[in-house]
Amino acid sequence: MDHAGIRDKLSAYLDGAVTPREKALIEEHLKTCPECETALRDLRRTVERLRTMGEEEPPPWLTQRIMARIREEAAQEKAFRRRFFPPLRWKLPLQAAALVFLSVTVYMVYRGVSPEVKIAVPPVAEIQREGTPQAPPAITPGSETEQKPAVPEKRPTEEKKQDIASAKGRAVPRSSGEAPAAALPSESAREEAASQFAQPPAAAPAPMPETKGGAQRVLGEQGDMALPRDAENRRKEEKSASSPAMRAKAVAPTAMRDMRVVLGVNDTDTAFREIDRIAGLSGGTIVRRSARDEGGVCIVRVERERLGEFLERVGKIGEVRKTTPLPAGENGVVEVLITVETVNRPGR
Amino acid sequence: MIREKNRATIDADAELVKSCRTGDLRAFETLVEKYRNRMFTLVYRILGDYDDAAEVTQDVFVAAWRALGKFRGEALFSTWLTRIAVNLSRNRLQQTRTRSSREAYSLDEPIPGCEKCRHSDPRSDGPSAQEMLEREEIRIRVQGCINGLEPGFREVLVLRDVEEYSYGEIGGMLGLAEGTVKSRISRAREAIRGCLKRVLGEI
Repeated sequence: MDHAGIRDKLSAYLDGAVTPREKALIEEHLKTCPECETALRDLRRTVERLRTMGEEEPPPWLTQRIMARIREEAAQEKAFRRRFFPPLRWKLPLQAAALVFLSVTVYMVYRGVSPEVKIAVPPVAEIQREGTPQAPPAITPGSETEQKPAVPEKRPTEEKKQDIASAKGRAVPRSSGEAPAAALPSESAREEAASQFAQPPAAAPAPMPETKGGAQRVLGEQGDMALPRDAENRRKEEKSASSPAMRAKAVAPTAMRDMRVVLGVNDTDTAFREIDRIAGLSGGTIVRRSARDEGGVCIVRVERERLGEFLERVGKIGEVRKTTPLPAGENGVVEVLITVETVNRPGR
Repeated sequence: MIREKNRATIDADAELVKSCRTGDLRAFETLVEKYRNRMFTLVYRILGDYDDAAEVTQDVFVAAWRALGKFRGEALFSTWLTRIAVNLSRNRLQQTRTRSSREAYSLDEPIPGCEKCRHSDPRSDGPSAQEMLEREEIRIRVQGCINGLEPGFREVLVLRDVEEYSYGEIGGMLGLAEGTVKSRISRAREAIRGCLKRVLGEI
């Protein structure tokens, strides 16, 4: 390192920012170079002058002015936040309301587009128009709520008729080929059915009051049996009134078609056991069942594509007296309402 | 002892900054009071103009308030504030250099007289040259010499010899390599040494 190189390093040397080797070289050079020695002394004094300049006194109003500007900034920021970010006490209820609205909308849209309602309801409305002139005409396919008023309208009549049947005793004469009278439930038969069929919730009528539609449906069936003269029409009425409610409860999202079968058998218990067995064989399930000595009803849910097979097996249990047409289509699930009637009632 | 004091200052600053973030204006006022003189001096050393320094110092604290959300505590609050001050001073210098000529000593030209020195000092409008303290006079002349430096050299010189930051810290603050900082400081000191010799006769 020559003289010029040493001069350039003197500032760094002053700050101790040189390597040990550079330091040794500089110190060696300083011993023999008065010019560099003087330069180093002047640099040291210069730095000393700079470092001892001390602080300048700012204007006395400086803090005040700064804080005035800061307050202004803070106020603007607050106003901005208030404008674009509402306070939490408004924000939370707003968000909650939005969430509820969204949920309801999604639910309504979901229900609106569900094929179940579109496919299932029109036949019901048709049946109702055919069977009961006095039934409310304003039943719109797909609108379950509008159909519901039909239920309370029907109830008193049904119950009244049922009472009449009870008063007359169970031995109400049957018209040929029609359902037998059966108004009062038989506890023993129910218990037996419950124990024999591996469907405890559906076997006994006990759970029926839990589902309004189900209860009405079974009552309707009993009424049917009590007054056979108008059995088919009444069955249709009853179905139109109670079936949508039941469907809504039991089958919600899948497409469901209905079918009705009236089956004449010698022994109800055996028939129900058989239905239970063949439902299993055809991949179906028993959704609801109400068994009596004199007869009963059960609803079997079965795949449309296996419906034919199931009905063929049903035909082997007893005499198929009535049946509604097979539902259209190849897919989906069909709910078959089987009304079991005894041909020769057990003597009492 | 000094280290403990520094640690206490750092912790206190961190606490104050935390409070400021929640909108605590009193906490910010405490920081303003604490760093007001230091920032004003730094800005004044770089700008060499009292009124400009007062204005820029205000801007420094307002900018700091706005940017508090971005302050992650990776550097000391004082270092962060210093960086803002240097940047704003540089911006102001660029504006004013084209606007008017500075009351600075040229590092190459003959030294102006004392009248001019006093004229460059905003607080020397009253007292006569005889009344001025020697120390004050020297300070004014040293500032005059600093004013004669190019902005890039002023910044590093002030940060090193007034604020006493290390080469590494200055490099980090200004985005310069340490070698560049070292070289600039060396050249700036040489220039000031020459200027002071001319202004004061001897350093």
